[in-house]
Amino acid sequence: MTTGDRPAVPLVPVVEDDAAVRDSLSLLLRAAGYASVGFASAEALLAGLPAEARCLIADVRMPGGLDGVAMVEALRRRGVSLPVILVSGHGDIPLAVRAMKAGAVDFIEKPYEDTAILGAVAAALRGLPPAPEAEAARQIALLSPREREVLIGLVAGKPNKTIAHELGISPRTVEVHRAHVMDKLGVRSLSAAVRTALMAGLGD
Amino acid sequence: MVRIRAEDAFPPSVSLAASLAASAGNAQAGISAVGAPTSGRVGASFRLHLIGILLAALVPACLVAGFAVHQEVNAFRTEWRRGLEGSARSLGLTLNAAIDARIGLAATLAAMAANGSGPPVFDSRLRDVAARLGTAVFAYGPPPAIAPLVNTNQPSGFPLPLAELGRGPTEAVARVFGEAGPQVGDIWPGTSPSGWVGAAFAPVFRNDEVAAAIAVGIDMPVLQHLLQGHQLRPGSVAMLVDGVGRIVARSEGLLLGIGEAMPDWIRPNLPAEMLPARSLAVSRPAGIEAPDVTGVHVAVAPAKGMPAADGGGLAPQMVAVAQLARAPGWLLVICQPPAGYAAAFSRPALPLAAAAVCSLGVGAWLALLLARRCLRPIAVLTTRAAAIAAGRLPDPEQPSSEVREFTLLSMSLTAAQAALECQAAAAQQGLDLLQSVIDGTPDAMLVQGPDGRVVVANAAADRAFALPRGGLVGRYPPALLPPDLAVQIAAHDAGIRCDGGPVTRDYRTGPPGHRQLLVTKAALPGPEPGPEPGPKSGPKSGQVAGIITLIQDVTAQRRTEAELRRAEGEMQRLGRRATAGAMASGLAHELNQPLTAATNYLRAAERLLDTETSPERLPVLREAVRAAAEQTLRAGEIIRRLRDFVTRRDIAPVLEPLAAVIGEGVRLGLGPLHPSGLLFRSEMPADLREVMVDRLAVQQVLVNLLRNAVEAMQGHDRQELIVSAALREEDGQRLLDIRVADTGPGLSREVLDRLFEPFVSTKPDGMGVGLAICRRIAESQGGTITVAAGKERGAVFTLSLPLPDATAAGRSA
Repeated sequence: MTTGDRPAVPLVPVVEDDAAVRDSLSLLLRAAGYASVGFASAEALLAGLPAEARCLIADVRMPGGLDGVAMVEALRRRGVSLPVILVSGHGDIPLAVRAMKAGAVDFIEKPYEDTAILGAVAAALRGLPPAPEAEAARQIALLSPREREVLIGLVAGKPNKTIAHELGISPRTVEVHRAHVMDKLGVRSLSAAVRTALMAGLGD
Repeated sequence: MVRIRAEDAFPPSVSLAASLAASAGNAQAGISAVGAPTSGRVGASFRLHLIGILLAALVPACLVAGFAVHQEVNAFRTEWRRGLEGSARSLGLTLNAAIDARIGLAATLAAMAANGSGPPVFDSRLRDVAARLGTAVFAYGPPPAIAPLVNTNQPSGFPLPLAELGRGPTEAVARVFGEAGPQVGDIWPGTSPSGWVGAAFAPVFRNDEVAAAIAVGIDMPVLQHLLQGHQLRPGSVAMLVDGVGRIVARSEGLLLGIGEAMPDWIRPNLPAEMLPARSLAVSRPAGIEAPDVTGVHVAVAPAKGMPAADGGGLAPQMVAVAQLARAPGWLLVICQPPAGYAAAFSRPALPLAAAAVCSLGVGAWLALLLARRCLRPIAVLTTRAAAIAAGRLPDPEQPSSEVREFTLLSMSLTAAQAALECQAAAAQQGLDLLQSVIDGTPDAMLVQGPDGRVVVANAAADRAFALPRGGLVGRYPPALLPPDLAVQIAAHDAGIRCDGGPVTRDYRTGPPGHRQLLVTKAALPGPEPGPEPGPKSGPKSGQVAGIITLIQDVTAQRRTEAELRRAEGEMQRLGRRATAGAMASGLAHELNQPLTAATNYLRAAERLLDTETSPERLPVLREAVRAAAEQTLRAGEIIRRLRDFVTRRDIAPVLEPLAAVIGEGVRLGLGPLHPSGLLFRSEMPADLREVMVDRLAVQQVLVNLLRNAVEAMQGHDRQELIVSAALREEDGQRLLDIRVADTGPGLSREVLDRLFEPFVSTKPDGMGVGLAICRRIAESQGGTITVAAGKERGAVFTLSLPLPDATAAGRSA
């Protein structure tokens, strides 16, 4: 807001219906050296998207209007290829899959560490994917066949029990496989594992 | 009279037997085996009636015959008396004539003497007359000497014997002088060989004074001949007696001699005026002028005996007496012995009586013959009818009878028997059907009679009492139960007898089994009060004829109900947890917001502290820390709400801002599910700010309704969700309506009806508890929850809550 004239400072708009979250995230971005502007809804952003915006942070769930995923899709339809980081307080796998498929560069669950969101912003601004597809494919290749199957089940949004039933193994074993998958992919959250799998083309 | 009602639980043969037995009366057939009471009086038997008919016919006949015989006998008796009387009269006349002739002769002689000369001439004339007549002539001088002047029985010129004064002719001479008229004197013992002498006297007048009395002897043999010449009935005797009762003449059969006294028993049987009242010493005052027999009297004298030749015996005598007019005091007596008298009327009467008796006998025999022909078929018919009445259907034989009516009656009875058999078969078929239906019911059913004993019981009832089939009939059910249960059942029965019921009670049997029984008892009403009086011993109208009992074993049912209740409680708990879980999910999302904001603020502050410490940054830092604290408190507030919701208590309605309550509910309900493309709208009335509601109740229902709506609309093009509130008034009660309208597929008719029942769900994996819980919550607030189809599509759920009057105060513009 105060750094509009200096291109050295990238503008990262925040789309969030909750005023406190919006203000605090803007403050955090400014403290990290970015410029930030807040929008209360997706419609507001689409109406007045600043041209100098380099990256977007948007909440997935925004009652009364378009949600974050729909906003990403709307931007893509306009030909805006701005990297979008989606944030959700209710991070479940189907939503993450939807977000990644829509074209979001990252999907972060609330509450998040400042390093996580700032790192995602930095990565987006660098134009790099958070995890390159080749790296993702290499990591997926480390998985055993059973672990791959478990990961495919997870990407499809199936609960552990269903996966265990389909694979003919116990749910406890599924959990063990799942832990190994997280370990081998070097991710801490399930949404990150899903993101890696999607990059490697596993969920298509 | 024979009534067979289809609803009668008793076999029709019983009531039939009762009525037939009543009509059959005292027929000797064994109707008493049925034990049915007879009604009314039985009446006399047919046999007795026949005897009555016979008597009614015979008694008048006997009376007529008896009367005829009596008349006949009377006629004979009268004729007999007339004959006797005529006999006496004619004989009396004859004798009177004979005596009258002598009186005339005496009077002639007296006239001659008055005109004539002295005694010698007179004496010789008298002797001539006496000689010519063959009788004695006497003349006597005046009293008191009464000197004999002439006696033709004595030689002329001889001194005449003096007559004894007061005896013999002197009494009659005294009467002649006294009365100056002719007289007949009583007989006296004469000197002649003929014995007793009787005479007729006449006065001799000289210078108009009686100078002497001429007496002419009565020809006693002539009188005797006259008497004996008269034809008398056999056995009869006749006698002529003088004024003192001496016999003057007699018939042949009489054993008394002339001059002897008449039997003493005759005199009391004569009338007073006929009695020879004149004694020899007393003179008669006046002469008798009547020329005839003055009177005849016939009387039956008692058994004093009659000295008759045929030994008349001591039997009663019939006596006829005739007075002689010319001889006052003289009587003709004819006695008839009883044998002849009886024979006189018994001869015609006896055959008459014999004929009557014979005809009576023949009539009686004929009557008996005909009566037997009637009585025998009646006995047969009565026995058959009684047998039919008793239910023992005899062979339909046709006993022939010579009486046409009986034959017809027998044929009718056979037809009636066939009809009865047909009817009984039909009734039995109906009963069998009824019995099979009763037996087919799984519940035990039994009917008790007035004495409490079982009359009808089905197979289930036998099983319930652990008895073989049919074993319950005739037993008293409480006697088969344990004591405590028996007391309860007996009290139940007594209550039914008092007020009729039906009354249903729960019973729990003891070990083993611990069955729970639902026993319904109802009274069978007595017969309707009708014009014909019912049997005496039967139940009177209005009384209880019996008790019908239905026993349902509800052990399994009760267990299921208890399990259902438990399941419902469990479901409610689960539902609460499910709702709470859903809300917790929503709350977790909401909690993320302040937590994220707080983290952002603090991290930003941290970074600011690391990079810049210029004093102009301090307000920004302070603002960041204050905002972080604020967000932390916000998170705490959210947690408090969650705790309130989960540990929900019964909270009295308080004045709440309606928009805030609904808004919070919407946030809780939509939190995790806010799909893209969902259009949400909230319509709140402007004039309704604060209402008296239980906030949590409203929110709990809203959360459920919103979740359902969102889930129902998932995958549909048009997703509109409208929450609205409105105030209305119904029956003076103010109601708050909160509506949740969606544009989902709506609900089918059958689901609409049952939607609020537990476990009814349209969701593939739904439990069907949410709406049931909503309804319970609404009802706990005194409200309702309803569902209707939406205007275009979808469903509209309406929560209606009553508002206390206090709400009016909170409703401000």
